Amino acid sequence: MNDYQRLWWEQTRADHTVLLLLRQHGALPCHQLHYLQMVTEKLGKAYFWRTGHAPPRSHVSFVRFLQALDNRSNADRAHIAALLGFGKVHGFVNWISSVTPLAYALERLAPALAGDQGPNPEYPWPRPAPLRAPATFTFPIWRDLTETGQGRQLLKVIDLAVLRFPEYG
Amino acid sequence: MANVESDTLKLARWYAQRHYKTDAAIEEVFYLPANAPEREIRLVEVNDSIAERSAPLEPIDFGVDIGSAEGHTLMVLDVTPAQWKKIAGNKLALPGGWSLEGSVSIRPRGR
Repeated sequence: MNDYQRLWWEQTRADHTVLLLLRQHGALPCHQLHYLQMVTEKLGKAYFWRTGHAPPRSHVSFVRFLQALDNRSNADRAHIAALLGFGKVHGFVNWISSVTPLAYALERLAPALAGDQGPNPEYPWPRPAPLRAPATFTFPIWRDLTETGQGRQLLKVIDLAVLRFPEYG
Repeated sequence: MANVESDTLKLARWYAQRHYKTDAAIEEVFYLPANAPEREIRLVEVNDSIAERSAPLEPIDFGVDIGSAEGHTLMVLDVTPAQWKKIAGNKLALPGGWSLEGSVSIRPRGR
């Protein structure tokens, strides 16, 4: 982990700590989703700083982060799979494929990607004449994350990916 | 030199197939060798799950081979199908130094 990554990881870990507090206190889904989106975005950016150069400014990095883990050497991939709780490498690789649609949905929660019309956890929408507020909206992705085994597993892997980052970043 | 190029194309195909496997939203992958530094692999991935943004296109460096003696760099540019049409029609610019000249379409295996 280089110095740039350390700074990004420290911020990611701080955001993740708030996410855990929100989770423990049963905060509204919009607040938990807001922090979850920020944590995953920053985790991806912390990872891509490993080149020593700034990653793109776009929000699109969590799916690419998962892919980049899959693109590491065989030995690295096995190590990362074990760190993230997967007993076998192929289980980890298959998991990445299956969880990618959910990872895209997480990325699109960022207001800049959700656009004027889309649900986002921060601001009422549609922007020109709001009809919905995040605080009272039922986010489909929230159900996917909390009411499916795949979603809950993704949350666990994100927790581990933040905590174990210095060992694979 | 010819061997280096074939090595990078081979690696490009390997990465492209892995990306097809992990992301069903990738429609097509193009390998863009023109102007790329030796050992740099440039891929354009046409993806219908990403949001189109007005900002200039920026590739992401996957940081795949840090610290290895024969290290290579993997640069991936994500574009939407609409952006790809504009690029092909010269209505949208690729990142600086990138070119479609000599590009190779890499199709998914087994889809």
